[in-house]
Amino acid sequence: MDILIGITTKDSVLIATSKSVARGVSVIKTNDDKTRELTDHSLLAFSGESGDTTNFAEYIQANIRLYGTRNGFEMSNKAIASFTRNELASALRSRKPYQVNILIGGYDVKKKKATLNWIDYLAANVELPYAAHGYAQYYVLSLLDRHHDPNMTQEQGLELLKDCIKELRLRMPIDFKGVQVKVVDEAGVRKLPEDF
Amino acid sequence: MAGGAADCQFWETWLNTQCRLHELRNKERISVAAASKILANLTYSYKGAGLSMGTMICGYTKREGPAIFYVDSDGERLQGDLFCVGSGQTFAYGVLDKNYKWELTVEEALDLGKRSILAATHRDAYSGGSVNLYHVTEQGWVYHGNYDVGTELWDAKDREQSFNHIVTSIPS
Amino acid sequence: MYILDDHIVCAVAGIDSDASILVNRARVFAQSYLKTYSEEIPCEILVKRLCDIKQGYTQYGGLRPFGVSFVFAGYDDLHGFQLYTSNPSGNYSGWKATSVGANGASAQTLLKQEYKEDFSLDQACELAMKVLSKTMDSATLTSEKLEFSTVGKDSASGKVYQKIWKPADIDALLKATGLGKAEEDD
Repeated sequence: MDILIGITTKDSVLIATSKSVARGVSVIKTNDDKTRELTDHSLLAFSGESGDTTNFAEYIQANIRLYGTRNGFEMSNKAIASFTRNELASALRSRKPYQVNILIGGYDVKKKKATLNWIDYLAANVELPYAAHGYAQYYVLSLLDRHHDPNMTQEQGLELLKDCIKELRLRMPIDFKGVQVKVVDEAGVRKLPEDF
Repeated sequence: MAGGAADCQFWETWLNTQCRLHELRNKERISVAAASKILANLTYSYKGAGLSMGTMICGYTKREGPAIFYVDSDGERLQGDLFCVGSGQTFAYGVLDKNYKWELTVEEALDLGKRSILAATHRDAYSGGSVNLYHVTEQGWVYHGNYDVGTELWDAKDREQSFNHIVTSIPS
Repeated sequence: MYILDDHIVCAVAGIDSDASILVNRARVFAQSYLKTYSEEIPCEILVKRLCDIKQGYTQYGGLRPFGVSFVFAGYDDLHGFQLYTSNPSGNYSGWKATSVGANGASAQTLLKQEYKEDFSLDQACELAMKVLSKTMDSATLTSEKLEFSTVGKDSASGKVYQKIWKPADIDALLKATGLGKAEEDD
């Protein structure tokens, strides 16, 4: 099961995604990127049914970029999350639902506020200070409940994230080949060079 | 290609058609990324309908350099520089991962590829027959022959002193 | 005068029955946008979508275009207070002060002469009334011949409000500005 973790800090969002891809009994990729950039200040992370994941993410990405070019301004993160939820909801009762779980990290440059939305394949959408998907939830949510502070700095957020990964390395029964971390803040989206 | 023989045979000749049309329309050979995405979009559109395919689209373009894309019937598409696909993939990975390095010469790489498939044909009940070798360069692909695993096995055993679980004389 | 959503109203010049079709479409657009994005529709997107419908009827034969011009007044976080007009061809434009309909051109001239950037709401209402008094064909202005509406933002709560004026409010403004009686020369 893939790992998605999101943590908001005072002025940024951190999104960590596991790097492994497994098909059947083989790990077939160890440096996978389970994220897509939606706008300059919005990042979508995804996990779930193979094939559905990238297809759905790229579909959402294309629609949000289309909105930007049509209207001359980018959608807010609330609007992006709501749109994504609606797409999942209408697919849910269709012949072929998307089995994709999602985190959307965003930074509002005007309001100077970082947001994180948790959306599951049943199309539940919640805005949260920190969130995770999959089995990773069972380990890191308690840890985040205990140690997260909405006013923490980006550096403190990264330390907390490292604690989460450390716990997962210790307790998860399957090697997830580490995580890739991306930051969304005033400057935009960037990948951290560090090996987590 | 691996999986359903009919699916692979049909859709890969179809993919060949699409690539040729691209070349005629754009006066340029298709990129590996684009070719693999055509197949991935196709398999995704048939998702759930029972297709069974595991494929690697391998190529070399000026823009991309050497590239491999894994595409399967789930609609999954992954770029990487080392993949094994099929029921014998685990056995092939075993030999390949141990001896693979980026700096491999062409001859070494061909030998390693052949040896990995040989390992798979030996241990996997559903793999066997012969090994085909191809080398893909910017100029196109070069065929490096067909090797019967029946003879290759004994050659390897002799040469490497490997496959020691196969006993050819009755111990006294 | 029609309320399209909590933050946007429009006035109509032209064929009323055509307008009511478009107003209904606009209201559906506004609600469907709210449902999809959990946010009120930005004014320009709504105006643009209505104009796309209007434009469509100018391109294909067999059907009659909508004989309607609109004035839209609204507020959103993107551009603050906004004023737009649209015409039957499907063109739309944004304004600081504008007019459409009978004698619209002369009203526009008056507005151009007298509009000031720093008008208060009261001053703007007074100017609107003055322009109407000079450009409407009837000799006397009464609340029965006028509709009047304003979109504003409550300074205390920051909430957008819209007010479609009651006849009594209009009469009060007419009285205050001295425009209710037979037209006088300034």
